[in-house]
Parts: sequence; C-alpha cells; structure tokens
Amino acid sequence: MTTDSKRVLLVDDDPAILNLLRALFQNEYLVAEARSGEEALAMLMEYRPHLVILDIMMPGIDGYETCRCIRMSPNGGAIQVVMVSAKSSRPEMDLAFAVGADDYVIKPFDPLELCSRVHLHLRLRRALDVASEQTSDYGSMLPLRSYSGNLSADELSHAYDITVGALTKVAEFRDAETGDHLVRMRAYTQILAEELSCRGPYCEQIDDQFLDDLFRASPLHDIGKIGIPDAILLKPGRLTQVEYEVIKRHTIIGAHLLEHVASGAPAAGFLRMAATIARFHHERFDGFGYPAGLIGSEIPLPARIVALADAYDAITSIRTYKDAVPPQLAKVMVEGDSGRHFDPAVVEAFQSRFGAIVRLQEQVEDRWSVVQGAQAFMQSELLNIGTE
Amino acid sequence: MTVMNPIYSTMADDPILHEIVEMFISELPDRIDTLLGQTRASDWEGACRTAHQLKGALGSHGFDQLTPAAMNLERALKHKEPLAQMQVALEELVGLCRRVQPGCSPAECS
Repeated sequence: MTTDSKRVLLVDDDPAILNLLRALFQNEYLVAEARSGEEALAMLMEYRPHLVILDIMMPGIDGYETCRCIRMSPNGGAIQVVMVSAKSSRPEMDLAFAVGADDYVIKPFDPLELCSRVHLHLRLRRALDVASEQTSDYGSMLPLRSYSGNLSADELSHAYDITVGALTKVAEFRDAETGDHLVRMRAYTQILAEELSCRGPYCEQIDDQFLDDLFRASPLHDIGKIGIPDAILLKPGRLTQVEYEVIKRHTIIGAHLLEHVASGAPAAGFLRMAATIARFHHERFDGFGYPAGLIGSEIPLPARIVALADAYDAITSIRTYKDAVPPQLAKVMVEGDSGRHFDPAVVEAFQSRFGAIVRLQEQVEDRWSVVQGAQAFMQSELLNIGTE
Repeated sequence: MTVMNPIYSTMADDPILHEIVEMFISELPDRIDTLLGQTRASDWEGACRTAHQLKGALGSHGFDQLTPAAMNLERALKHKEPLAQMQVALEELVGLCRRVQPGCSPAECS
C-alpha cells in the first residue's frame, strides 16, 4: 500500500536491479522505472519525480550525462538524485557530484542502507520545500507592505512589466544588430500561438492565460546575454569553439535569472514561462539543440514556438556576416527544417499564417530612433511610478 | 543433481525480497551463458559490461562472497590482461555462480 505520494524514478539497464529497487520502494512511494538515461529524461516532464535513483554505466547516454540533463531541466534543481553504481573509484564519485548528484551508493548495495538514504533525502527535500515556501511567502509580502500606501496590485504588475521590459532592453542594447528583433519576434510568436490555439494538436493546451503569459515572456528569451562578456557577444568575426560554448550559456544564465525573479514575485506565471523559454529556446525538435538536448515534446511548447519565431526573424534580418533572406526563401528553409529544428505542428501554423507574418514584417522596420524612443519612454514611466 | 558446497543468498529469508532473489537466481544461468558467449566471440567490451553488471547485482542480491570474483574478471577484461589470466578469472566466477542455489543455508534455516 502506498503511504507517501512522493514519486521515485528508478533508472538502471539491469532488469534484476530494477526488480530489486521496485521491491524495496513500491510499498512506500509511487515508483516508475526507466531502462536508460534517454527513457528517464523522456519521462521527467510528465512524471515529475521527487527523487531519482540513477545507475551510471548504461547503454546510450550514461548516468553522468543523464544527471546533468536532469539538473538543466525545469525545476531539475529540486530533484534529489542518488547515484547507485558499481563504479567505485574516487574520480568516478567526484564526477558524479560534479554533475549534480546528491548522493552516491556503491553497488553491491545494502538494501537497508539504500532505503535509509532515500528516506533521508526525501525528508530533506520536504524540509527544503517548506523552508522555500516560507521564504517566498515572506518575500512576496514585503513589496506589498512597502508600497501598500501608493500602488495597487495592477500598478505593481504594470511596474513589474516595465522593469522587466527595461531589463530586456539592457540585454538587447548590447547587440547593435538586433534593432526591432524583439518587437517582431514577440509578434510572430503571438501569431503562431494564436493559430495553434485554434487548430492542431495543442489547441487544448493554449488558453488565454497561456497567450497572455507568452506575450509577456517571449521578449525575455535572450536575457541571459547580460551574463556574456562583450568580447564574445560583440565579436565581429567567427567564434572559436570555446567562445561558442560560452555563448550557449546565455540560456542557463537567463533561466536562473528569471527563476530568481519569479521566486520573489507576487503573481509571476509569465516569469516562470519566461525562464522556461530562456532555457529551452535553442533546443531542436530532433534533439541536437542545447543546453539539454531534449527531443520533440520533451521541449516545453512555449520554447518550441519561440524557437521558430526567433529563427525566422534571424534568417530574414541583416547581420554583419550575412544578407537578409527574402521571406519566401526563408519560408522554404523553415519548412525544410520541419521535424529537425522545428516542431512540425508549429511549422504548419507558420505556413497557415505566413501572410500575416509577412505583413507584420513589412510594418516593423529596424529603426534605432524608435527603439531609443521606447527606451526613453520606459525610463520616464519608471521614474513616474517611483514618485507617484 | 547435487551441487557441491552450495552458495545461498544472505537475503533468502527476507520476507519482502526473497521472491526477487529467487527470480535473480533463476535468471543467473542466462547471464553466465551470455558472459561465456561474449568471451568465446572475443567481445571483451560486452563481457566487461556483463561482468560489471554481475559485480553490482550479485552482492545486491545477498551473494557478497561472489563480488570479488566478478570484480577480478571485470578488471582483467578492462585492462586487457593476458588471455590466460582472463580465463582463470572467468572460470572462478562461473564456478561460483554455478554453486548458487535457491533457498537458505540449512544452518541458518534450522
């Protein structure tokens, strides 16, 4: 009989070990099993385990890489990962902890000891969750108390939008080439999402709240570029492999930043969505993207939509290293990447609304004066709110 | 057939795990066949993987006394030690696995 609703995911390629682990834990926890790292990662989003017992030596991606991917997944930092492996050398254990394991148990294991450790980790997780909730409650009360005499909840929300918008511009203004990229990208994203909300496989998932959150979240997708050194972000020439690896980190940096902001915000659904988009908008549908290499529906839907909008705008814009590709040719390129870079359902939405996308593209031009004006406007609004 | 000096699991009388141990024992001959097949085919990588699995699985099912033999074989395969040494390690592990019996030791059951 299950006495605890905690979910435990068992990952091992040896069926005998899976049988043993299941027998040990199924009476106390909800248990699911995976025979490989790939299978475990595919189950992560839906099963949302509280704890993962993870073998290291498995065919396909090994336990180290699986653990790394778990840590990079949404809320992956909150999952307790216990590595259970017959690898017993110090460097192997060091590597396990370096990729984010919470504990390491050497096979052959003593069942009693393993059970004790799992119980301990789940108790620890519960304690951390309670502490985090209390901190969050306290934190969310502070701004309301401080501003209760001056600002309503709506005004606070408005101030939040403006602050976040200004933050976005800080990132964008560091890259002189992007111009109105965010304006177009947000609009493309919205057109695609609205189309997907009407027909296709995702219409159940996309409601008004989703559309509203997406509208506010999508411009924050590259916010992590704040953390990339100018020498690399603004380098005119070709990037070295190392520099490219540094650039790729803007996804993780952005996600951490937004998760941190979301944890202290009173009503921040869009910030959580923004963190997800920041983290996963460079994933590819075929699994060859970064940072986690998620495949297909493992990639959160908002990130799949933004990925196409972002790429289409990059293709059709001028860069120092390339000319702008005409819309019709860009459309062919996007279609050719259906099922590879992009979700085929999102590509279908793109095809259906291509006319609207091109019309919008013609309306929004890259004009520095407009962007700078928008920045000045936001700064003045921020000042007004601060003095009201 | 009577097995000389049978080896029993230390978990054979565990109320929850004894069925799992019995299942493991029933599948052990298949694992040994796999290991022998891999070494006959000079599939050292595959044999090393099987030895590694046995190292973890045997001890975790209450056969701790077999763990060193599995460890020796894994090491010999991993470091590509001379064939004769691999053969000794293989025979030792296979010999021990064939002594594994279901149930618990008469001394402990009585």
